[in-house]
Amino acid sequence: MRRAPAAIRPPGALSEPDFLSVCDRCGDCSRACPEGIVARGDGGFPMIDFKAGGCTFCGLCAKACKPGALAAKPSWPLKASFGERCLSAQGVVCRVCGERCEAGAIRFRPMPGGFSRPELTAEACTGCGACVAPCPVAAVTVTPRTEMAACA
Amino acid sequence: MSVTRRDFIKTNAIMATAAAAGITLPARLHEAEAAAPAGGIRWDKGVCRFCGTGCGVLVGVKDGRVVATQGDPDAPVNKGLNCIKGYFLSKIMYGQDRLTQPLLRKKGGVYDKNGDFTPVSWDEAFDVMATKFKEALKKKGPTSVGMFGSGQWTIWEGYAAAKFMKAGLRSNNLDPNARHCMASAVVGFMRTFGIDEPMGCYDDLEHADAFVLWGANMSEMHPILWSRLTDRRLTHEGCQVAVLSTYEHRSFELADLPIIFSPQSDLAIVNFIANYIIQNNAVNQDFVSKHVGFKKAITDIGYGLRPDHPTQKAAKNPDSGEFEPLDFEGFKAWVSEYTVEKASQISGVPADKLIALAKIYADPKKKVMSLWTMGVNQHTRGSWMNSNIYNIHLLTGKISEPGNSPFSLTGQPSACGTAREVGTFAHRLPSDMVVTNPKHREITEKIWQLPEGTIPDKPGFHAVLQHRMLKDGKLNAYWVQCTNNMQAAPNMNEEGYPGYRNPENFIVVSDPYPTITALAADLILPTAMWMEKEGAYGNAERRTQFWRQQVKAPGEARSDLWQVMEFSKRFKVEEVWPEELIAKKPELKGKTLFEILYANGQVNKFPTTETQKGFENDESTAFGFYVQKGLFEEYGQFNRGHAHDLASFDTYHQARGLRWPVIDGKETLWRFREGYDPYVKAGEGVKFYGKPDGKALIIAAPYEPPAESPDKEYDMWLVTGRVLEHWHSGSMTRRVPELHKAYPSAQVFMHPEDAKARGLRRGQEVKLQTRRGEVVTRVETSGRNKPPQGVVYMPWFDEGQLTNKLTLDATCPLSKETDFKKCAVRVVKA
Amino acid sequence: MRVKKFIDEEEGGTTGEGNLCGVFVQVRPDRMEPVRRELTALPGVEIHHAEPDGRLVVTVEDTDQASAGETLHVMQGLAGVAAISLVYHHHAGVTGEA
Repeated sequence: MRRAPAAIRPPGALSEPDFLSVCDRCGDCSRACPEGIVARGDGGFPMIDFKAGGCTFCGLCAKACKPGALAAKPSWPLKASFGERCLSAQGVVCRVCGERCEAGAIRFRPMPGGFSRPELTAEACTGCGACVAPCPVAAVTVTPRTEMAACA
Repeated sequence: MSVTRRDFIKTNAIMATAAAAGITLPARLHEAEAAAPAGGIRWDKGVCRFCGTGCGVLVGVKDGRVVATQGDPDAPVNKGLNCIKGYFLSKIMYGQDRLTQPLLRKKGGVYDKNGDFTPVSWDEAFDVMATKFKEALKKKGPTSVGMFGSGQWTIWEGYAAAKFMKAGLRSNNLDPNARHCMASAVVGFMRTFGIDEPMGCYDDLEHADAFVLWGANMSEMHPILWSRLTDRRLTHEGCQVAVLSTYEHRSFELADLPIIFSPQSDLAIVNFIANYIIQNNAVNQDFVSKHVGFKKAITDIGYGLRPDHPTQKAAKNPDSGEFEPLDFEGFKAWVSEYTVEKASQISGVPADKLIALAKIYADPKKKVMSLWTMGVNQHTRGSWMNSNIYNIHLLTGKISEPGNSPFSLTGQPSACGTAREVGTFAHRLPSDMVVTNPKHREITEKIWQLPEGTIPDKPGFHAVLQHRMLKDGKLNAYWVQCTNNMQAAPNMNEEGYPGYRNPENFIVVSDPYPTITALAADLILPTAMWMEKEGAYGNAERRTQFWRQQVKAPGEARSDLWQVMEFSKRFKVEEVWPEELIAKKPELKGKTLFEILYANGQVNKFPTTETQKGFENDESTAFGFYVQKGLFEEYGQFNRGHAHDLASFDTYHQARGLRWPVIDGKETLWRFREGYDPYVKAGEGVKFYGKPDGKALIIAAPYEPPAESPDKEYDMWLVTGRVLEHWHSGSMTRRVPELHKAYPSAQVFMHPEDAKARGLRRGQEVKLQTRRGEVVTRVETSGRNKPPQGVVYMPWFDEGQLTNKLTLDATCPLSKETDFKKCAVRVVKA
Repeated sequence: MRVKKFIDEEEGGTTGEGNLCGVFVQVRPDRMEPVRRELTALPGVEIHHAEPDGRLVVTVEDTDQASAGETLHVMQGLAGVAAISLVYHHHAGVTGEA
């Protein structure tokens, strides 16, 4: 039904067709990443794996890229969203994602009924993905804003 | 939905309807739950393993394994809600390093204190253990043996252990970890009301107009109660929330009146409120004249440190809990020195905020619920502070009615039900009785069918003293159950660890997992936990809740109850009691402690056929009688008719818990008030019947400084505590992968300016150093806790960063509870 | 009140299948036997307990013939039924003492 989401390339990646033709799959970017979140994706091309952690936008991957596949001006249209599995949608007090959000983009406002659910301030969200890995039920995804379906 | 789930829901529907109709149903109706389905999940009611809130959970079992839990929609406490810990409850029993057989330190095939842990049989374990306990008893008498128990013990485990230690081995050296947690609350209750535990209940959360949190972070520590409070705040017009703390935390998100005070100064703030109430004619004169008496506490009482500690030596009246006489006028004059200026100067809180807080209490139209836990209890003046909060509720008469409620929260699931009600403290006996009172010993010996003089008349060693006595070689055979006290107790470097490793001592630790405490022991006994045994807990609102054994424990793990009872078979009465004592009851000659304490005609009265069909009960199978029922019904003799009435054993297996006193099947929501409490007779209105004259006490107790304050060398305050995701020392929650991932390791929370001044950035490794030890951790300058400048906060759940190497073993001199919230620390780059 | 609200919702089609209700029924003691017979004949009704003074503990479930709401409505109209209280309601994960 829904297309598998396209792999998220490291910051600074050229447009996907250009990236695929320029990248020589050497793995330098992956080795350069201090957070260890640049993984080998399909076909050996690098992709960001938020299950391993969040991006600090340090730029070391781009610096390490000799062929220039990461030479574009970084654009990062990604934003966090919260799926149906989210524990706070099930009457469970959990605020792990908000805790990891350095930008303070995930808020839990006190609500009648005593339960608060994550609310994203999209402008503040940097798309760093630090909220993805710690979610105990893997309910947080970081996707390009256009594909995003916000958690009600 | 499986057929069984539907049946289960139907049973709930029937139970709830019958309860609403005032009908008691025969037990058989409940058995629908036990019918095990083919291939499906069997659901049954249970109680959460963690905090003192006491949330009801439904436990799903498939193929002998707990596969799911969910908040119990029918549980009045949580109404189907859960916190993140409760959600992952099903995983706490299945950590990869579960202990499945006894482990004894051995070298060359025999026990050696410096040997390696070697698997042994239960027989060998108990043989060595019995030899060591008997050696100690023979050499130095009953004061050389001891036990450290738990507010996480089930009610019958605590009761069986109390009998074993206080009567069997005739040693009062039995104390629970609740000493670290609730002892100040107990002393506060006993001094003010003469009877333990809150007069109100959680229903107050739906009735109050204002909430005041005294040093409690309910948002993280009691999240379900916090959700009830939040709902009230957002749906009840004019509802106010005041949050007091020494640092900003999550509960401040809801605060209408946020107050950060300097450590220890809550004493000045609470006295100012009392003064404000009097100065502004807000005293409920009628209530005070009829129901309240006055006393003045003896002051300068020291800090519970070792007697040779200079701070302790400086005290004029160390450990004194005495009173001087006082009346209302005297109290008025005494408290008048706590002006807003003085309170503001001591606390650092602006005067207008203090006045706003005082007005909440002073407004006769406002129903106020005060809530507190460790901030008030873990305090070198914790017993005073508990009573001081009661003072302001008593002055205004805001007590013992819906919404007017000074409410002491608890940290452990059965701190109330087991540690306090059963009386597993070094000075206590069941139902608020004490070992120092000859009448109380007599009552206890009579119920236990023991000769007069069996129970020793001196209090035993309390928690902190036990570690000191281990270190000093005066306590030599020591058994720890159901707690991780090496990690939890203060000043591990100077007291706990040297005590355990003292070559003179033999240390036994019973635990499901190889905790820091277990690894410091000489013998580790593998324990059956939570749903692997039939259990009962008592929560903070006096609610007693039961569950059935749902699954079998792995390997040779056995419950604490089985361990104590089975071990008691190793002692012939002649080996532990003097001849004169046995001579008073010659029929006990030649018997084992098991026969005297448990196979006594009372505890072994109920046959195993009374256990619920379809459920295992390993202890009852092992001993040949319904162990839990026998112990509970014998224990019932202590509380029934004495204002602590518990219902019959079978009732609790049907109900979603009941709040004592339970009279004629009816629970009590508000004590001490006519119409709610059956112990208050018609026409009496209010009666504080814990006191002989029926009056509660307002106790004048001043601000006194903390035991240790920051100075040039150690320039910051260290506050320790918990986080939402982990419970206490993390021995269970850190073994749940999801919770571990959510909060993997401890950090030190610090003000950004303090970090900057020390050249530190967020995430950097630092050393925390105190006069007692050093811990390496990482700096957190944002996140959930925001300490003011000069204060750092560090949770203690992480066994990789033992926070209690840093803390000082200063206690409230009255309650002997450690102040884990205040000591001096410095933070430097690692 | 609760019964009324529930029936209204039910007839308005807002609840649907899978309802299970715990209902406390009060019957005039002299009409106990006929009411018991009539209740037992209703689809999805089970009597779990009866006190001689006229208190009944009953569950009502949706069936193919009638929804729980409809059945409750019929029960209200039986001669001898003094009062019906909906104490407990479960519907597809929404459970609680009503």
